[in-house]
Amino acid sequence: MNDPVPGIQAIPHEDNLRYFSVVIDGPSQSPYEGGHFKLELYLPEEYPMGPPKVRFLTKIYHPNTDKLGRICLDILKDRWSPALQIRTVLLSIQALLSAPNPDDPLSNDVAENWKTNEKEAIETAKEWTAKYAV
Amino acid sequence: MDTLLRCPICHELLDSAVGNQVCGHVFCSLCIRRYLTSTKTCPICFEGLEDRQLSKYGLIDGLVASFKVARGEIYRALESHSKAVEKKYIKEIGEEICDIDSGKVAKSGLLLAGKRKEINVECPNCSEYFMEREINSHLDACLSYKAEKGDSKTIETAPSLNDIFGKKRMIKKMPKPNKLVYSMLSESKLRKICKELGIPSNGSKQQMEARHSEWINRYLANEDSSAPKPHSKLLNDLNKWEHAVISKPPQKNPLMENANTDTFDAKEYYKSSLLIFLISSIKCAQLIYMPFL
Repeated sequence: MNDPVPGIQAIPHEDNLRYFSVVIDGPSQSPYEGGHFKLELYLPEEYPMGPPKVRFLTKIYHPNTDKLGRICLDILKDRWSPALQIRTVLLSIQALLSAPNPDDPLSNDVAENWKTNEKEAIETAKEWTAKYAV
Repeated sequence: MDTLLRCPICHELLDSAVGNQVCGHVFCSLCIRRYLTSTKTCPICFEGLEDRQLSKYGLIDGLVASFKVARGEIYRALESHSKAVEKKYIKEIGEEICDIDSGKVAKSGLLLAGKRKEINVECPNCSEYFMEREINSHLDACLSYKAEKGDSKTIETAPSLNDIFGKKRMIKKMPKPNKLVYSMLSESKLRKICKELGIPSNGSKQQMEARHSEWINRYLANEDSSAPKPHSKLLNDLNKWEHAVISKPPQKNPLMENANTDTFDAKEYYKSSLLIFLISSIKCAQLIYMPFL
């Protein structure tokens, strides 16, 4: 990584260089602002022909993640391209925090809440951020 | 310049650059061919892309080659400059310390010299890495090999039949592989094809499929190269690749496996049931030992 992205940190493990500890800061003007979200990122054998595996380790209230921290993001699945990098993947995840997409959910209850009562959902997301990610 | 000449897939300097007429994006031949084996789109713009739409960009190969040479020269110039600065620095420090303790001068000098480690440099001709002090002797050998090859090329154009046959015998050319639909082939048929192509024909059908498709990609990438390798070298590379893939145990990320719902829930369940068991066994123990207390 030639120039680090502000708000994103990825450090490879010493004993396994394919495994990264990642911290993404919650984007400003989002319910996740002020939170530091830990993730794990793993480069499988197929990388870069196949996507890296990423999941949240910090609990997060977001319609496109499930309670195990797995992330629903097109570029981590069928829209993966070998021209994408760890950097671009993490930037996309940060962007996903800014713009949750309840129409393509991974947690149905969160997405439902997000659609029917957005204010309350955002409030809950803020609470979870304060409780788990600070 | 450095970023422009890098392949978007492997981020190395482009090796046998190929592009396509559809969107104009450029990759290493082997990188894009490997990707197109599974997905038929351009990795950058997602336009539909077939490997027959690829064409080689010899100009870019030339640019990369001259950039590599220029980079080496810049590096050497910088290094000799930093050496000069370092010498000056050692001298200055030496003078400073000399007043206090003359024994330390040698020490600080040694320390700085130790920092200047042996650096591996890339041969601009064959792209192999060598120790800095070995590069000159290697270059002599490497370039003379190229010159020999160059000579044999000129002989090829000469009308002498002997020479032509001589050359043919010298370079063993292997037949061009064709794409196959592996699911339509039996194991023995595939083994026979591998044998005919001159690539190893041992192992399971799956291994042969992987080997065969990798061989096609490598063979075609070699044809895109401005300086194609002899097929014996290509075969050697294929063996090395296979060895690297097979000898590596399939790496699994133990933490990522927890992401599986079943194991996750099961773990939680066992944890709680273990707790209940422990509590009940303590209670039992208390009941049993109570009379003795």
